[in-house]
Amino acid sequence: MNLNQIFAAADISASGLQAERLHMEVVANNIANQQTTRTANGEPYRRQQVLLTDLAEDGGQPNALSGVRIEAITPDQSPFRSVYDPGHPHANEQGQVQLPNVDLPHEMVDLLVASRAYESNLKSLETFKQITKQTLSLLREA
Amino acid sequence: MLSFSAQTDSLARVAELATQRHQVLAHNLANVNTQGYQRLDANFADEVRRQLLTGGSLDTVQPQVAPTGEPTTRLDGNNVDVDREIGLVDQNALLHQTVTELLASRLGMLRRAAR
Repeated sequence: MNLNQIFAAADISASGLQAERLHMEVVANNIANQQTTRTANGEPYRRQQVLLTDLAEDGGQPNALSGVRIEAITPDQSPFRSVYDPGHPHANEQGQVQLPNVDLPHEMVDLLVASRAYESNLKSLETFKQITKQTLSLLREA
Repeated sequence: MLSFSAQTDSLARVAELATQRHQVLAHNLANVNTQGYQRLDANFADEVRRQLLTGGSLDTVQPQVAPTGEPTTRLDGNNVDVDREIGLVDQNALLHQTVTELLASRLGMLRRAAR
């Protein structure tokens, strides 16, 4: 057994923790920008979403598995919301203001999903620690 | 009946297999939000049982990592169920604990005999 594969399960769980933390950060950013009507490109804020892919090399062995990879943070191309607010500095000639395509209930559900997934990865990491400690206890004089 | 050293080897091998299965289950949990991911599992219990019944060695037992092809109700096609996966992680950890305790008692016997 390769030396750096002994703790591979910890790396796998860590990749899950990292991905879910990023997921939560992206959701938090979406929530924070739900009223941002102007960004650098002149448009309202566009909702971001995280794209994940699994890291498995072929071979069908547990050692070929290495968790999850963050593929990209992609913008959500759904249309912006539009409200009538002629007094708003970013309103157009018709008095319409374009608002970000962020939907708060949607973000809250995403946040819940990410936080539960984070917890499950943490649980898996704790179990691995417990398993490893148990194996190491064999070295101790009984 | 296996010899003392063969029993110890078998227990150590089962502990190793359980650690490898934990890796596969951890991989499933890491990919719980990956679009289209199909859960994997490493089944070794059947093979271990067969080898023990026929008096074979467990050294040749390799965990078979394969998609389990369970149905999914999720829109993204991912079929990982967090609660089930955690249950399997716990179950697998208990198996590891059992064989490790047995190994510890065997090593204790050896230590006492050597004294």
